[in-house]
Amino acid sequence: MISNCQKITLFFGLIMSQTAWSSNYLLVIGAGGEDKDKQTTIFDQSIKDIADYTKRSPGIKVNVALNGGHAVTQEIINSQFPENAEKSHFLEADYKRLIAKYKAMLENNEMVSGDQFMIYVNGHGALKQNEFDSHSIATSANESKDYNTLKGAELVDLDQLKILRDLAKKKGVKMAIFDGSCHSGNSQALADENTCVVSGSGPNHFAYGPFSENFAKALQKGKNLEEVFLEARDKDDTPAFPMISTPASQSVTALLYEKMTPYFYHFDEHADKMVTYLEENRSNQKICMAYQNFNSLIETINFAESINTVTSSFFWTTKTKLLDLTHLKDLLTQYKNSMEIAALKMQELDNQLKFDHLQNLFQTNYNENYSLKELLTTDFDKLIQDSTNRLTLASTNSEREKIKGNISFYNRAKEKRNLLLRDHPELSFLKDKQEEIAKSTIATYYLNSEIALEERKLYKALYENAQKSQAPTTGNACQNFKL
Amino acid sequence: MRFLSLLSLFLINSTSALTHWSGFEGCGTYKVQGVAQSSKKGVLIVVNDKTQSEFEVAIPIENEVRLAPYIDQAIVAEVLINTPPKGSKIQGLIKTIKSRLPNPINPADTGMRLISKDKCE
Repeated sequence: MISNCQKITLFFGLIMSQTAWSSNYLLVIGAGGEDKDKQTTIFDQSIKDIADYTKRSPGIKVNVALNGGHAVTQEIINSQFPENAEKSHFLEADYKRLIAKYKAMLENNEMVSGDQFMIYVNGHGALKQNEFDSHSIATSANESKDYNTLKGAELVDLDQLKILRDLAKKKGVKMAIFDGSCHSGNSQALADENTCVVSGSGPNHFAYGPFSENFAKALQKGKNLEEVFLEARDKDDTPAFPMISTPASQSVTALLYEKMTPYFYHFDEHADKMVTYLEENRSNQKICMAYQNFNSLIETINFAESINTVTSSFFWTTKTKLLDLTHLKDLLTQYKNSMEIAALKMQELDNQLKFDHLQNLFQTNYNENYSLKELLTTDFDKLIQDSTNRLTLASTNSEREKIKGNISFYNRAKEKRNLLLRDHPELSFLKDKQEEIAKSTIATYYLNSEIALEERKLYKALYENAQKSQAPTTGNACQNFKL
Repeated sequence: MRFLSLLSLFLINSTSALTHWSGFEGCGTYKVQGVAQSSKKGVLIVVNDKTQSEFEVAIPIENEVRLAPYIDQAIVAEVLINTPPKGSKIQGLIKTIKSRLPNPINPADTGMRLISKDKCE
């Protein structure tokens, strides 16, 4: 017979053993797409910070695929991560090899129920492409100068992690994916009830180092990933929109992300979203929509303030704001006004480029006109050459006449373009003019950063409100992933 | 003889794989994502460029000037197809056209889908 005391000892013993037996795994990947000639990468600080986490996590099984041949970065990897950590380059082959390795470990029960597996991704991330649910990141193979598409870099898609996510769920291994790259909000698509996903930015925004660094620093024993995320987000002042796959975050993101999107944009000659945004939002209809978006955002801010206001009655009723977002509203108003002026300047530029008095000359057979932009950028010489070659292949007179009509059109358009450029040489600087307009707004990284700091208060208030409205039994993968 | 028959069968099938488009869902307006190109054949849209499922969407000669400013660019266009394709020949009229961001990973990330049905002529 076992006494009650023995039963209790056995029970706690089992629990303790369970904790002692479970293992933690960490896979760190990324740091690709950087200039080959540089000794460092922009990810060095976050690499140090995640390495520090491994130092304070005894027994954690670490695999690092970050090496891109940058001497200083390589030194950090070699000296800061545990000696027994596996270290390799981050090329497409490495990525596939690592996925295959962890897949085999899950299949062969080397990773078992109760274990925890975190994948920490930090590198250059591309905008989402149609064929993927998430997005792609650069490997170390090539550098990219275009931080939106990462054209030129070798890319690997994070959808490939789904196989690990699904296996982990099946095996009861708790999983987390941290994606600190640009446009990493797209990785939220990888989350499920067993896998927590944290993103360093929204799907349409660049990400910046400090969030990844703060996240790694906040990884402290006893916390769960939701707590780590909220702590890191609170400290972050970069113009991004960090996300986590909890139900509360999903509801706040649905309420806030689209409305906040333009207020994190500014002109940057190396990594720009402002010119494209202004190009796409310069019509009267879009200006009107931006105005409605602004009003809706102010309503949301007012709501957050109202739920954080205490009413007290003594001789009379007083209301005390526990959350004052007046500064945020001021900043957003200034920003919105400046963007409206820029959109109108873009319209003005369009009007200059339409050159309505040329309408007859450039009217096509379908009563459409070439815009001046089209007139300036079309390769008429190639079109004339190709069309002339086609004349010999044309099988009917009617076909030949139509081709001749096109050749005549291209010749006239080319001639007119040359005259226009002679009389208005400034027209050859269309791109420069658009950039000039984008630069003329009050939006700078520093203003966006000031907005971001205020937005953190708004997000926190809405997040806490969303948490309260959830059923207490609602669990989530991020709370379940405990350090 | 058997070898020649097999060879010709292979060649016929290879050609059709390169040029045949099996996505016709009736006449109407299609959203076409491809690349505008100019050649001796005219100005046209190439869909699934440089892949086994590459095919071309031709447009009437007089409508080519609408496509001309986008030569060698990735585009997305609304194309009205009012006659069923004859074999591998697809012809449609451009209703709207704009540039699109090409996919850096897969330059052949293009396609064609029906967005609104219409009567055939």
